[in-house]
Amino acid sequence: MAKDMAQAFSWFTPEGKGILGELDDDGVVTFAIEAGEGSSIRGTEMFNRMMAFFGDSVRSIHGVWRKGHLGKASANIDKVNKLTSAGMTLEDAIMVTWTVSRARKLGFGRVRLLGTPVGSPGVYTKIDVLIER
Amino acid sequence: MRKSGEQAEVRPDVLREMHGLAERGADVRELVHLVQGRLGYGEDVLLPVLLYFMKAFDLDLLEVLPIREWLGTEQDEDINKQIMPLIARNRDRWVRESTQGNGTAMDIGLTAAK
Repeated sequence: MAKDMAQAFSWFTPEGKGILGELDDDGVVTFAIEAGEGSSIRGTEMFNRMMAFFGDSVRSIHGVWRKGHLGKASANIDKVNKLTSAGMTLEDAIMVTWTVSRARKLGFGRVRLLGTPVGSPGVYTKIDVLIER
Repeated sequence: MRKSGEQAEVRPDVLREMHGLAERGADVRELVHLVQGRLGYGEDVLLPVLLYFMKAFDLDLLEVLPIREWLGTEQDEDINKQIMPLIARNRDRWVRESTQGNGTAMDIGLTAAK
């Protein structure tokens, strides 16, 4: 698939929450999601709908997890920090994050780190993962 | 042209305004405020902003994601260093699309910018 054939998916609620995803040339999905408090639609429903839209073209999901400058809530990285601060390994903690849990239900069960995470147990600020079938 | 199957509609007039602002040297904060204002969102709304940056300047989601971490901060210098070169990189493309589409050179400020 050429770069200019990249596919995008977006679904926004009236309050500006929702999901924005992109499927690149190599079948890698990247997405940003805002649900939870103030959202009229559950994040899981948004995620599943996005994955259904991209369908069999998806080979992997790139999780781009960041802790913002102001320490805003970030479901995945907050979960990793909570678990690793309690002694769990980074690899095990990643497996029970929001994104990986939902991806596994759709058949994406292999997870590996991309690059080197920034931070240390309990205070990670930057983690990239690739979730594959 | 990207293939998109989204439910969210993108307003061409807002894209043209973004092009015009960029041509006049606006920074990321001004562009973000433009989108939020035109769409009637508050200053903490993120996802539509990312979509409009992608559409207006032909950027990938990965390229605009740093706006997520920047929004609500005062780290303008950092975000401008990341995003503005990407906008400039694709300038020929988005100027062409804007002039071939619904806008004219005058609409997007080309005559006044340089």
